[in-house]
Amino acid sequence: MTAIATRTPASLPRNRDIADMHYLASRIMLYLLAFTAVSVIGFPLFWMLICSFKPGGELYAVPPTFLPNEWTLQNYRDLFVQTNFLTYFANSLIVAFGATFLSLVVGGLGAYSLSRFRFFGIAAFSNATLVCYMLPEVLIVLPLYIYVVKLGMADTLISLIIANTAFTLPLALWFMRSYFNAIPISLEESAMIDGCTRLGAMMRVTVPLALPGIISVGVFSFNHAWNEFLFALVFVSSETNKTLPLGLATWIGQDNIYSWGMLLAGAVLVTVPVILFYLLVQRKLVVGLADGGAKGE
Amino acid sequence: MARVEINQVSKIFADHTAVSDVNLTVNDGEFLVLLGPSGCGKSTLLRMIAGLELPTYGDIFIGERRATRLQPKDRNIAMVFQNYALYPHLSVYENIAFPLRVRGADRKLVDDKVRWAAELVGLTRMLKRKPRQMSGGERQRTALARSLVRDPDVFLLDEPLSNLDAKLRHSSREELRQFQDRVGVTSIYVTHDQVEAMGLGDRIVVMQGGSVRQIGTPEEIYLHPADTFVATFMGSPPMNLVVTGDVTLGFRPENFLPKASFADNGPVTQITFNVHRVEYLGGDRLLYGVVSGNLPETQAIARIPSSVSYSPVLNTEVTFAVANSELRRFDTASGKAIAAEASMEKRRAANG
Repeated sequence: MTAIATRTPASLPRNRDIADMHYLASRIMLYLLAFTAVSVIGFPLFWMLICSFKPGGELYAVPPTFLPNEWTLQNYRDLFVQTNFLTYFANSLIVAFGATFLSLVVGGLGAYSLSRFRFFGIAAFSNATLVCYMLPEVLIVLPLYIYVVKLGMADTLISLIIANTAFTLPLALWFMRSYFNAIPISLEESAMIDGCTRLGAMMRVTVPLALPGIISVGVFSFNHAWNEFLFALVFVSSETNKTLPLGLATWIGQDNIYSWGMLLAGAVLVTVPVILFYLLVQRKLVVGLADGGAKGE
Repeated sequence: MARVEINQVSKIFADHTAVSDVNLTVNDGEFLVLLGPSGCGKSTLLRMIAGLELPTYGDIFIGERRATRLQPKDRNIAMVFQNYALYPHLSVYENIAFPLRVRGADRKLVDDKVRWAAELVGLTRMLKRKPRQMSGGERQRTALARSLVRDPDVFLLDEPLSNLDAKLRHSSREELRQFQDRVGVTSIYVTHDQVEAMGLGDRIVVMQGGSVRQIGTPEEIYLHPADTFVATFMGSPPMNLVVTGDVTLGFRPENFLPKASFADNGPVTQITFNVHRVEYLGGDRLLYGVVSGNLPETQAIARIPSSVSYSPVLNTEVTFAVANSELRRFDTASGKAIAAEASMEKRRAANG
């Protein structure tokens, strides 16, 4: 009894030291790993950023400079003065927000129906949407183009909004459906008895609880529509309706690139809204996930 | 406040009949309990009254209104769900306020009503919490408060106590009944627990296989079961049934006592009983054995209060007896109680 009592205080701090060491070592390993990953992924972005501040000649210098010898905003000035960058930018915003909005509304209502109602053909329908999602963009772009022309929507932003929505919709449906499935039906029934219509119950109870899923789908749709190139290339021809990826790509000629600086500056500005959007919803995403985890059951 | 009338209501799902041809009237201010084993259709019946299911046949009236096809929100009913269905993203205050907010009530009224309801169920100090930070009993009280804030005509409760532990269930039952007495709302309560049903109900509706077996006060149901199902479903241990040709005899274990313990107060029927096992339960002893003698051999149980001094001898034939007024007779083929039996017994008892 006494032997144990005297030994414990001596061995206790030593154990704690070892535990601390282990903790520290694992932390260092973790950060090293994270740093490596971030470097590999982040360096091109960083390179893009610093090169956009280099004057034209320095971009071609051999050996290349790391930080610009001379910091300049000339590339950005050229971008706004010489090109339709602002038009592209506005078009991209319209298309991205339009497609995101449509995906969320159509996808949300659709996913809700798939999750809550049982009627003829609903299972077949939900499987069909999944098959559609497996088709690559290249495969559906031509048939879609024919529709777009027949409907008189060629060279419009609406056609891009619809095409992008069509492409993200299957994922939106399946993703949000699984979120809706996880929410007990009795919550909605209770809301309906408490005085809501079905739509009201959905808006007041189901949607707030499924928020993390809805935000994930929103981020995905926005990202997809913002970066989308192929639909834009095929559907849009006039300069005033070009989106950013298409606009920027047209500066890359057949065999030469006549302004690396402007292209880099444009790329930096393309990246900014996406990062801003992420920062905006990131907190909601994390909070929402934590909320959904413990459903008060 | 309203009465509820259920007229020949049936509900047929794709593969089975959940409720078949139920007629029922719930009086204004009454506490009615729907009792039955799981799958007997009691919850489906409640959901039809709530408007969450549409009856396949029949009509439901709430107050003077025909409510069969009315939306749940237009019925002015309140419901407490088995899992309470509290909105996890809202605080207790907002949960209770929800029905008022949906109706667009002004803030002053909402605040007054929420505080009144919270006071009534003793939740005043927890209004800021989220449902997941509360215990089962507190959640149940929150659900109760939420169903109260808008003065419903009918109060529907779907096994609201089944998620509580035994002790809490007992006190909650007590609270619930006191509470209903105070508010006086017509209440329909679904349960599979006969103790809850006996303790809470003004009247009990016993259901089985989608149809109503008996409607009556707890005493009527216990003392005069309409058929053998009700006789064995109610009471623990259940009523002893002995098949004697066309007639099945039934008697409650607590009325099945040693012959010696009957004083001369009424005629008795003697039954030979052979005890195999004794179970001591504190207040009572349960004697498991076989009825024999002039009756066909059948398993039976006797329940003797510990206060009655009787030391059972195992595996020996002993004479037990049942007072004739406590003996029930059922038709063996249909299982139905043989009518007029009760009144005949009474007359006989009065004359004898």
